[in-house]
Amino acid sequence: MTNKLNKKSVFTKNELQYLPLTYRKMEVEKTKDIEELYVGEIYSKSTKHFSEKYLVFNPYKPISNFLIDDNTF
Amino acid sequence: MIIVLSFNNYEQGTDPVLDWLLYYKANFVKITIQDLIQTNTRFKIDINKGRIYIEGKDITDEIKVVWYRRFEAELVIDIPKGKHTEQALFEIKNEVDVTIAFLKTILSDKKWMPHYGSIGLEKPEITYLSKQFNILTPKSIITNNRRDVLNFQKIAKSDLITKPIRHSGYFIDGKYTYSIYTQKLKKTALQKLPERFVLTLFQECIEAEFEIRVFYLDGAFYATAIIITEKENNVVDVKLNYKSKNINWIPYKLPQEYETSLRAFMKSINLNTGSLDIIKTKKGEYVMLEINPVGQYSDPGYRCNYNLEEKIAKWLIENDK
Repeated sequence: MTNKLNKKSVFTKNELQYLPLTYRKMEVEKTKDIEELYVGEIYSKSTKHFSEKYLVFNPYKPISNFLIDDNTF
Repeated sequence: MIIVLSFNNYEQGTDPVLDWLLYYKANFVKITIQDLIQTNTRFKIDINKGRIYIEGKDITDEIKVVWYRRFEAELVIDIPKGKHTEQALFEIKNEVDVTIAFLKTILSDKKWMPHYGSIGLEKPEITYLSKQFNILTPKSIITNNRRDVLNFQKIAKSDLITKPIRHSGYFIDGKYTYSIYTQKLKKTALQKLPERFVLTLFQECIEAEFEIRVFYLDGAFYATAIIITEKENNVVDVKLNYKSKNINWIPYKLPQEYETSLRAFMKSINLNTGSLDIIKTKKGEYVMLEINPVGQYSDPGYRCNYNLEEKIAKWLIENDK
């Protein structure tokens, strides 16, 4: 389980008074775990930096033509 | 010629499309903000004639299609820090903004994806404008005080959520990074809000059966249902569940009637592409949360075998005729 529910703010109590309410509860993650930031791992060895998209692009799952719609539920 | 307006670094939506453009040997050029402000590309705009030159070559007439991908999103100007550089940086950004606005004017007769006049459409406009097409959207307000939030809650008759009006990025603080996702505000928590605060967006919290991500490309809908089999910690923002084993991405077919309404709406706001976030409610209704004209599509497209990157590339090539 990798759910991130560690709510804090990067801002001080004083700073928060001048900011919208959305800044009061922020999600905290380890910087190196955020794929979009491209930090913490060497690109060519990383499994998180989309590098696989440049190599072999295997389908995520077999093509089944399985399609759901309103009537499925 | 296809002109791709994007930024220097890897962009998850753009780069795989460029791979397909290379594969199909398309005639294209990618221009970034850095090309305009740095010295590694010879770039010129003849203002009087309205002509664009790259490396001395006039490409204005050659351009048939403009693919806009977050051109203005990453303006990094690398100048040594000095006493007055902050003000100079601010001023350079204005210079760039004016130049970009003029570029859009010069290229106004080209085929755009998305159209430059609709790139800036945000949640409030989308919500407001969609009303006349009978497209359901969440009840929403922007306010700066508790009293109006409490009154709004009575009308919404649900818990509320807050999220940025436009966008919030990553706040990197060394080892840890902070970011804002959609937050649920229970009725009891509303009483504890400060009496006055800086403007914040509030929406009714819609009980979702599941969320649907839709990529729209010139009349076609590529929808992905995000089915979470076991919800974790009652989070409201599905992005927080992306790495969960309980998340399933399944190709989805929107009802035809709903597609027709969405298509008419997209046409009315002059958008030939966009990433739509839709909720299917427990009552079976479809509620549109937002449309991002330059949104992402790779993840759902990849998981549903939609091959969206190739479809976008083919669209660009098809319109470059």
